[in-house]
Amino acid sequence: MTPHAMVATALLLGAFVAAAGAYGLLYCLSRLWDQPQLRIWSHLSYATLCAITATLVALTPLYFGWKILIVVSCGAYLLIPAVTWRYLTRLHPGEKMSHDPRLAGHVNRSMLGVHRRS
Amino acid sequence: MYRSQRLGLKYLTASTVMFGAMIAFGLLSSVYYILPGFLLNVFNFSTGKIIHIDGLVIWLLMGFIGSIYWFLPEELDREVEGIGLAELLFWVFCAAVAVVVLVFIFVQYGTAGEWSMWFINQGRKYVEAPRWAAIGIVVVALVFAYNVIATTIKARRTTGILTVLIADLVPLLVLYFDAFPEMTNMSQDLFWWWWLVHLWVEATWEVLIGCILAWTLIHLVGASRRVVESWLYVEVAMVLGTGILGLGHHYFWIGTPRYWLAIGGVFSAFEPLPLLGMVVHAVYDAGTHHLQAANRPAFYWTLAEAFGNFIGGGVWGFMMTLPQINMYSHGTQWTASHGHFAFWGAYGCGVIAVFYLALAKSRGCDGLDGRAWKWSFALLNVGMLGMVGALLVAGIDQAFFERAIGGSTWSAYLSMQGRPWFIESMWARFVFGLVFACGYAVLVYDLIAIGRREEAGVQEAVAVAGS
Amino acid sequence: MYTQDPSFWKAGAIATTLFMSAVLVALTIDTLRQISPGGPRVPSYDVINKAVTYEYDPNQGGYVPKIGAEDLIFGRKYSGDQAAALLAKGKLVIQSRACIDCHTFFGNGAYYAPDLTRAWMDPIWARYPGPKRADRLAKFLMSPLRLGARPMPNLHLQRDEAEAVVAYLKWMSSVDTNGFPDRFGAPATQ
Repeated sequence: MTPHAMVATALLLGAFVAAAGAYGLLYCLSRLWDQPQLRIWSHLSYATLCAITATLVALTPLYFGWKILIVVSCGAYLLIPAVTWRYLTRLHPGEKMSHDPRLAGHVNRSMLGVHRRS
Repeated sequence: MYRSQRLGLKYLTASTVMFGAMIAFGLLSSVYYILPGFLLNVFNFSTGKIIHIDGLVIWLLMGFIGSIYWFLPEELDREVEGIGLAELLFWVFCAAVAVVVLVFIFVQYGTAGEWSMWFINQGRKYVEAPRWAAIGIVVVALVFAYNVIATTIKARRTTGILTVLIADLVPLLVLYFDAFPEMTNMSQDLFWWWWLVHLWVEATWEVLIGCILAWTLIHLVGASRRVVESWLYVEVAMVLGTGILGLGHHYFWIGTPRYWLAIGGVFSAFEPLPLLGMVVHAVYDAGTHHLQAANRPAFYWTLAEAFGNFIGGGVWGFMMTLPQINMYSHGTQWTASHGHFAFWGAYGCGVIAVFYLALAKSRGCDGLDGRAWKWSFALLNVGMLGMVGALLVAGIDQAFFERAIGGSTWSAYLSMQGRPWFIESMWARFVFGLVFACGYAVLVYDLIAIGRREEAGVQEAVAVAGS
Repeated sequence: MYTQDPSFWKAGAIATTLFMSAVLVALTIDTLRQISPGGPRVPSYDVINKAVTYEYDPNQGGYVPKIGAEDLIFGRKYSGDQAAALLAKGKLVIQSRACIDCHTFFGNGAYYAPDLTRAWMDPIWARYPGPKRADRLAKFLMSPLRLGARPMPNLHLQRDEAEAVVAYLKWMSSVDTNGFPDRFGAPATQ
């Protein structure tokens, strides 16, 4: 592995997990707020993750076993947000989610009780 | 308030003080990189670094212990068993830490012999404290475990969170016995040392902070116990399922067999997966509560924990964990970048969340808000991001020039340390360290002040109503 | 559904932990055997009487330490027990001075000073005055010269302590670390 390949591969590996995180976050937000734009962004994030995976497989000198591992991880990162979200929603049957993003910034003092300030 | 909760507040206060000491010696350590020869033969880098990294362990441990003393009596609706002894040992613990630090500062090191090991410096990373102090920590830990277990037995009931915590405390304490031995064989020494360090910070501590955060969610947003306990079991399965054999990522280069390259690489590559699950859970909880909670600082520090854990541990870790990369990144500032980010994200943020939770309750506040906590939140996180970014640039520079090109000789190391990007990174790290320290100062101000003025107003109103 | 029952996940957590722990214990038993001095990966302590080099092995696809002919340090040939005692002392010196809080050993420690895994065979000692490599290292440890931008403090090592540390570094450089650090002393072109 050349020094340049080593650095490039490492940065791609970091970007790989970062893209997975972005996908997970956007997946959750799209379900919280039910906005089509967020769904598109979440799909784009996963597409980015797939592109990074393809780059790691095709262009880096990682050993074959690690490339298989990365492909498997890519699949796992697709499943984790969906499985976790479904699991959580089934565990919380009584909780309603806000579909109005305007409520996200609204402080409901009567609901939350008295606030103390510093 | 239960006596145990008062003790919890004392531990959380001591934790805050140790956090400050850690920052002070961290800043000092960073100065050596930008001023070569600084305090040479007077106060060497190693001494400042020892207090910095041991301070890290102590402030987090005190934070965990304080959190558990805080939550335990409410969990079981009774006072903690053996609380008198625990109160005494708190002061013993603080005194021991103070003595150890003073010996580090004024004696620094001894000759090669048992006297040094017992009374000055054991010289193994994170567990440099002399053996007498290590015995003291064991005593404190045993009493702490007694407090938790005996209270549970006396209460004649337990909860899911408590059961997981007790099951976790046993290996956590047993692992600390690696703080004692002195082995000639460095491979063997490091093999067992990593059992302590990794199975603490990437296994038992993860479960411990999971328990603390489970309690935090119940008290902060009224999360259902059934839900947090189910999630805790899932977390334990995933974290220990990946983390126990993820220990192998420390066994690539210390003389251990080659199969650890595959085992360690595979399992540590899986370690970010549960962390993503935690992010999903955090976003779910935040969203279902409309990003609101009465105790806003505790809520946001809890969110920071989930994201910081994923990015610091998961993203940064995965960058460098595969053996083909790790061969070059191992033992460079790249490791320091990952270490700072992961510790902060996984543990620092969570402990600060509990600071605010405990304070709100102790000051009779239903909620907390204000400006100061936002400033400290911003300064601490920006400071950390800046330090981590600077160390990443320095580390990649090192891996590239010193290791991959230079062949890792002393000359390659020394010339690398003088490269412009490295020096600039060290300056940037120092500056962002100052930002972090400012964030700490604001945090301390806020922890002292938040909720107090209104608390005084409430007490006055109660007094007037009663007269 | 059973996945909504907390007991299912509790059982899963217990089973996973126990299984992984059992695998770790099994691997630990094998690893400890392999890293015992005199084993396949860690030479016995009297390797300090021999020459130690670091060469590329095409079968392994990486660099490995090679043990050569007799190459005594400090003009003495150490028996197995003498070498063990000397290295025990060397390790005690290393711990008493907290060397790992500036340097790294097998890449573990602090990053303020160079890695010591192959310090015994570092080319820098050719620049230092002294009849033999071991003497040069010992002299440096007792009175560190400024070798670069990062001066080493004087930790007041006596001659016997310095010799013990040198012996320790020589033994350490003979451990098979799966090729770490890569290409030691053989810089690559960019």
